[in-house]
Amino acid sequence: MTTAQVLFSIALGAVALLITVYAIYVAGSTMWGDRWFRKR
Amino acid sequence: MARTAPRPVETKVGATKVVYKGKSGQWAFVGHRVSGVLVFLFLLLHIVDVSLINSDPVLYDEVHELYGNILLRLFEVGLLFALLFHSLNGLRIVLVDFFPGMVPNERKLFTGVMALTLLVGVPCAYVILEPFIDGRIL
Repeated sequence: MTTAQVLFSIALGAVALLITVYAIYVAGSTMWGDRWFRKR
Repeated sequence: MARTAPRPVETKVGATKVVYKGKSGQWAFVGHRVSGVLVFLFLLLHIVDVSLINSDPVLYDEVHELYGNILLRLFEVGLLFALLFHSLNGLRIVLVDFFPGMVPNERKLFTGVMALTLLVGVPCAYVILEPFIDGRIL
């Protein structure tokens, strides 16, 4: 792999990782604070 | 009003809070946010990779060779579903905004968005993954 390919792979990997963490955060945030689901 | 309408709740300080209780509109909101951020972040990278054609065409070819990789093909399938869902759900939001009479049918509209996303997404995903399925790469 060339340097450009390595750099682009890292950048795309970072996007994939970031979006995974963000998806977990947004989906998880629905369970917090009695707003999306009422705690019993 | 629709059965999916949020229920206002009195809090201790007297302000009203809304509880959505996990209905279709809530998951549409989650999906719309996540797919929107994914598409935006990829767009930033896509501007970089496409702009390489001006400065260094060899580098452009090198970088675009990566898109044939199975991992990137899987990423592209995710991107495809994110784009489809985001655009169709955007249309659903426009419909509900412009035609309040649609609110009672909000759940059906969401089901339609999901069905269309799968209907268009699955054949396109097959095309993207075809070289891998045929065993031509990796």
